[in-house]
Amino acid sequence: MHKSKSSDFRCFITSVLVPDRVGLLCDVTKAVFALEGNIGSIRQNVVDGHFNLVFNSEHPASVSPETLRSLLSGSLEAEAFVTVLDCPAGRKFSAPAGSRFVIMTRGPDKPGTIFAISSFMVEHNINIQEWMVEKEEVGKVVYIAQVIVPAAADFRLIQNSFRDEMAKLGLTALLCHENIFRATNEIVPIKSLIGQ
Amino acid sequence: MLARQDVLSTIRMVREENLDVRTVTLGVNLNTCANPDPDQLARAVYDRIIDKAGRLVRYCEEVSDKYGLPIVNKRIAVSPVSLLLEGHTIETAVKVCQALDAAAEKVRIDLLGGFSALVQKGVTPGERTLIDSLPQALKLTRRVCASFNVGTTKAGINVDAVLMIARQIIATAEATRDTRGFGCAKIVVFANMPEDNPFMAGAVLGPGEPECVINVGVSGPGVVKRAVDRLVRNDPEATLDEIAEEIKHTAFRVTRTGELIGREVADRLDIPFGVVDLSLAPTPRVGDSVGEIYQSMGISRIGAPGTTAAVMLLNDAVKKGGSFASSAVGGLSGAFIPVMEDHALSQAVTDGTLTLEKLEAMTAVCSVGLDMILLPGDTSPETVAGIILDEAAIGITGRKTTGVRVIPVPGAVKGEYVDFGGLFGAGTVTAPASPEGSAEFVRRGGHVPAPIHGMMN
Repeated sequence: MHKSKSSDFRCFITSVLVPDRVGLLCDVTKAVFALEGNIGSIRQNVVDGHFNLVFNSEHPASVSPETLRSLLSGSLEAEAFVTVLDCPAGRKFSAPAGSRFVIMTRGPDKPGTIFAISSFMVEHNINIQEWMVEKEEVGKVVYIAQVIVPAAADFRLIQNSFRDEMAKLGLTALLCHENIFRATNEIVPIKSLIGQ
Repeated sequence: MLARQDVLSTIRMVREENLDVRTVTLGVNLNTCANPDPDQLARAVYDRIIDKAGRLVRYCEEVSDKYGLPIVNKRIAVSPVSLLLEGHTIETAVKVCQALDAAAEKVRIDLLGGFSALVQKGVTPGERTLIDSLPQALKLTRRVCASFNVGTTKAGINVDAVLMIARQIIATAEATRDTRGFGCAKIVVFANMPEDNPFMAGAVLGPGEPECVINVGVSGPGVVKRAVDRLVRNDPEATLDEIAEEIKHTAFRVTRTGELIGREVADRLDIPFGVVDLSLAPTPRVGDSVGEIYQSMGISRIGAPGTTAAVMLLNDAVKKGGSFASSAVGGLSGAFIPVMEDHALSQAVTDGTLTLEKLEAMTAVCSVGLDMILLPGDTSPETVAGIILDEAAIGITGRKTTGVRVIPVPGAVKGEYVDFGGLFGAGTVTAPASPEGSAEFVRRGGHVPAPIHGMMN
């Protein structure tokens, strides 16, 4: 993302939800480009045939969130949901700082599991950043989440507690630092993973 | 962002394929403990271990929890104790060994290596003292391991030292008769001994090493075995080069895991990280066997023609994968073939498909040598010395490490079953095809000169 004087530009965070088809990303970015926008972070995925896109963009100060929302809505199907929020530069978010861990639970696919996991995370002030689902054999599901464990937290206590709580629901569970996954899958020096 | 498959495959390795770190070994230099007074020497050795290793186990447990990965063994390797024994008696050597044993127990370590001497060119009085103390020292201690270097590609083989040590191996077996010669399971005789080996019984902190250092031994063979099994299940016609490729990929991931754990433990102890030893070290558990990997490759009867090639393929693939994974690879780094500690190899010896001579051939291409092999109680020192000489010859000619860890079981005959229990395993007493006939050669003593390719400059 190119740098510019904040007084000359505005930043937006935009969410698009629409039934999937070929060319959606092209249509969205065409609209952003038409408003002289520059996209920074972007995340796209498809859930059950629904295209879901979140991105931030920087536009000239004359462009408003409503301008972008209207243009996007007009470019997409009628059933598209488009939300554009003003996102002033330097705005602070309240998510706690800490270390990145991965949680995994495995067990029967039944209502309430994600609620139980997310409730546990809230109780321990753990912020969920990514959520992945993997269907296994019939009736079984694996939930994987990347989370931020607060720096001051006793992760061993959380680890044991998480395992025990999930066991009550018939789930096996683990919580471990993300570096074990990066070490086994990325080709970067191990020293760089642990900040040496 | 992590990819879902990356997370799942790593979790599968941990939960279903026994991915672990086999050992985190703390090296401690003891040279500052030298003292002419035996009691003060022993006290200084004890205090030094407590000071340097007191937090090792706790930190290992913390790191293990953080990554959800078991660290199976936490161990210590000290600088060669013989260096502390110049001017001392056998009684002092035993006292120092007991101090090491007590310190290891205090810091919750199961094995400590470094009751050692490097004698490839000659034997000093202090080294002689250590060698002669072996029967008593190993009888009176549980955790201390002894090792010797009797040859190098540059120096040749010290035959006098080999015979001297062989006699003490026999004496140690006799001194530990009540445990079927178990003392000998804690003695290993090397050629081209590495100075940074984290695995027992040969772990030692070599003279060129830092004052303290963390070296790591990577996961056991179970992970590799399951990777090969999965490949063959998905593609029954998989070729050997495809198997080698699968082993390389697995070795890469296993090595990265080891380095991550080792560096973090070293960081917490505020000491340098040394090396990752890529060796696949089996345990007697089913599913944790190097022999099972050969079986997965297609060697249904271990010892059959082709076995040596299978060993070579495995050893080479592990090295290639591991070398790419880490710039800090060291130690022995290959595939161990410790017979008693590997149920598949042990069974092959019992079945008669794997002989001492075939094992010797395998050691030409594996990472170490004749390891954890039970011999009859009437084996002569000259025969033990001959076995060591043969292995050392393979090592210095092949420019590789070779080692011998044999247990002459007092009173036992060929074919008898002996069980040490735990990590040391069980097995059947075996013997060379021709147990006698080399005494005159061995007793000539002197040196086997260095091979011509030892002159590298």
